[in-house]
Amino acid sequence: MTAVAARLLGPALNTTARVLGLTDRDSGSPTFGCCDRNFWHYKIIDFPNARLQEAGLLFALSYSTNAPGNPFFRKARLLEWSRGVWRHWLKQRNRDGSLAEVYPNERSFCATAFSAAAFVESVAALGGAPAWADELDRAESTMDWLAANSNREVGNQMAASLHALAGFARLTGDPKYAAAAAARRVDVLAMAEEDGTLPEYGGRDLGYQSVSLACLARVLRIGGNDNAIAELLRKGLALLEAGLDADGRADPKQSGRGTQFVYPSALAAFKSPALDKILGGLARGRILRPLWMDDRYCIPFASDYFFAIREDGRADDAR
Amino acid sequence: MTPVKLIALRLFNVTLGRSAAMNRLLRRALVVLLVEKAPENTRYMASSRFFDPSELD
Repeated sequence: MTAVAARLLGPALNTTARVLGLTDRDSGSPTFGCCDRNFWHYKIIDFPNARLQEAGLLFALSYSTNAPGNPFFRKARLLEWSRGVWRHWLKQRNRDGSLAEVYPNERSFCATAFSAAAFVESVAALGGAPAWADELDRAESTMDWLAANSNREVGNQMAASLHALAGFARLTGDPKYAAAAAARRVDVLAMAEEDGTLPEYGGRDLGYQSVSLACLARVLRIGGNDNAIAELLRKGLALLEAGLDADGRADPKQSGRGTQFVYPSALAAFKSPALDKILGGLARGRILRPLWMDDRYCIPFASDYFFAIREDGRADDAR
Repeated sequence: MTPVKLIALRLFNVTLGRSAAMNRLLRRALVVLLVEKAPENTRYMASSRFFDPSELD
């Protein structure tokens, strides 16, 4: 096992076990696949938060990551639960394909973009388009909504929408979505600043910068050679690397949104030496890890740990 | 829980629900309705079951 896997796998797997507990795993239940325990179990809220459905990707990565000590690897129940999560996600959408996070009938660009990106990655990890033809067909309205809407104030959400559209285009081979992804790519490149910052509400935030870069690293893997995206990643990573202290914590002066976490997968994809700072910070118990976060945030952060492990295991780097 | 039910509950909470006695009355009514008189297959029972690794076998 590599040093990256040795340090990141445990926190990721522990989060999977936690999130399974948040998920309705009873296939006979009307809310089977719902990951918002406050909704389906405690019944103290009136609609489920769509971002929690990104658990479907966490389960897919747990199922498909071949690493020593992974008890979820190739366990059929994980496959069944991940599909259940995504079927619930399809069911809980608004009529126009968008999703809600905070109130009923909200059309959240953030929740739609990130959950759609997690959906396409899950499909790719669990057999690809032939095994998910029905779900992909039903997801088209979500991708249409993403293509028609944007949030140019927030870099990480725009990068996630590009991730979703590029992944969907790759899975379906539909030129309509390839064109939508190409248009969103232009948007993302246009909003990036000269120094590689992907702005968050007009400023820089290194934690969300790491989220944006993680999405773009996935876009690069999905789409292959893309010099402009690779160049943006290089510049963006240089900023991130310079802003991390010896424990892998982001400089608070460069974190306009007060973010404490740093996603590691883009650093792993580019074989950045700064990844060692994060591993060291984890070893010394000095930085935030997925289990310390709330239900909503722990899920995508743990999935990014899995992506970092996978990137680290690749012979090439994304450069 | 649905949005309409939640709105109805909140309306009660900020009006009659200001009274502790009314709160107790509502709680008792909900226990009778949702637990004691509900058919067994729809009976609400909050539990603390989470994930058990044996489910993977």
